[in-house]
Amino acid sequence: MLEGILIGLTAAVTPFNLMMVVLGCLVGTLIGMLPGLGPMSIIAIMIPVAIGIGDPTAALILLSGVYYGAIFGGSTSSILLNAPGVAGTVASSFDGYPMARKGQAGKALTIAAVASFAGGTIGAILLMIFAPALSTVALLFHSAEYFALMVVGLSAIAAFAGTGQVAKALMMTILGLLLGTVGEGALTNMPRFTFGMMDLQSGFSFITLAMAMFALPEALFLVMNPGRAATGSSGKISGMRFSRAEARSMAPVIGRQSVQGFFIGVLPGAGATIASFLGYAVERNIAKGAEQEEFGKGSVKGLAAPETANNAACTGSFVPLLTLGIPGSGTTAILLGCWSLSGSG
Amino acid sequence: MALDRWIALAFIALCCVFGYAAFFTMDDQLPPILRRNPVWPSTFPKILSVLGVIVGLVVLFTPKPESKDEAPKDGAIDLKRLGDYQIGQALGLLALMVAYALTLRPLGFLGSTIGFLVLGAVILGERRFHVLIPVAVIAAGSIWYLVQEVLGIFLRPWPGILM
Repeated sequence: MLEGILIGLTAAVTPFNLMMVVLGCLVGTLIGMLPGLGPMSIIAIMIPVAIGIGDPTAALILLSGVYYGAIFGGSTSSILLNAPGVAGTVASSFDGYPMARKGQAGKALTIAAVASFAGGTIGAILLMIFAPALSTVALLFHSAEYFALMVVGLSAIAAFAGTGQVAKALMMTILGLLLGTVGEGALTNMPRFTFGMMDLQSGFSFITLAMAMFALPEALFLVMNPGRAATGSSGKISGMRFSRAEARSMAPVIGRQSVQGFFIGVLPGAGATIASFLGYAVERNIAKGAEQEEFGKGSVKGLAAPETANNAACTGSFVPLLTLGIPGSGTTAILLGCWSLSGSG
Repeated sequence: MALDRWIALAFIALCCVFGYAAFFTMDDQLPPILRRNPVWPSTFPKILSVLGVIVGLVVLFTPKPESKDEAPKDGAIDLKRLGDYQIGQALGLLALMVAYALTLRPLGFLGSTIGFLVLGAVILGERRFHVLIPVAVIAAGSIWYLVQEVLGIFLRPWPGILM
């Protein structure tokens, strides 16, 4: 295994490939900030560039950089505008945006960057060590296991419900499931609640709903109450540093969520969105007293958890792709197609 | 009645409509071969609508706990001073968004987007049309150029009858 890692490192640290990493992350981050453009769209846009390079290794590195950059870029608009750029960063807005409202936007962005980097790096180490063993485990997941995973995911809603608010949280969970039934049924492909409209055939887009739930109310509230804009932060991003105490409180969160996010990402179909929500829920539930109260109001842990988990899950999603050639998500399917075209598949 | 109870009431009404569609209309076009399946397309919506009505009733009839902190949270609407908000502008913007979605196909991307940007700014109080119109044209035109010409994704710029 060590020999393989060294061969990989030799290929990765050439100046050209390092430049591809920087370019991929930069493009992914910049486009990922635009609400609604997820990693799938960005990678699809970059396919002609990757194939044009002519080197399969550089193409793989470039597109992987775009993937990670897009997930990280989505968190910037989540934190600054409460408008999640990609589905995997919706949970980052729960605490990132309140931090920005308090005038700590710079610190929130730094925490997101550090947590994303740590999640991705620890995920990559786990990928190197556990990939062959985990690929067989991922294939053991069938309908029953996925149903159980979804039940666990939905039970995480309890983490978002305050005291005495469980019935309301359950009501909103059912509303989400009701909206999820719009479109073609998974078993029979019969249209449900589409009213003959082609646009509803594939159901509601998650990112569209997230924009409607987070960005639109924020914009309308500013229109209704112009004085609120003046009461928030000045709009300047300053104070990028976080304290040593905050770093100490974040470290275990990053450690836990790197591992948890990675293992959720390994499962085909699960991915960064479930990993980030579960990461947030787990950290909120195990936090004690005042720390738990702080969640949703600008908690450092509440921001670090989903940011770590979503990047670790991205790395996890490479396990079935690299070991078995099975893409576990739309994004990795496009990556596989591109690698095949560029000669590395 | 508190706002959350109004929401619960609206939710129960939604579940009733949803349940009616699931129980009485959804399976009409199901082919006979699929009727032998234990799970039909309407099965999950039926379960959800019943669950939704039950949970909605729980929210509706559960006594509201005494709240110690009556001050509205940041970002929450204070219903006691509803008259102080500029609700007309917000409703106007919402109506404009719906109109934009509906006119995107008949008017084409450029026509509907320029109209949306100009009218949106007018609703928000901007009256400098010599600035407003060029900005709207440049913004809509550059997005159209990026999508259509750079990315190669078809986006009809004008109404169908002009093309």
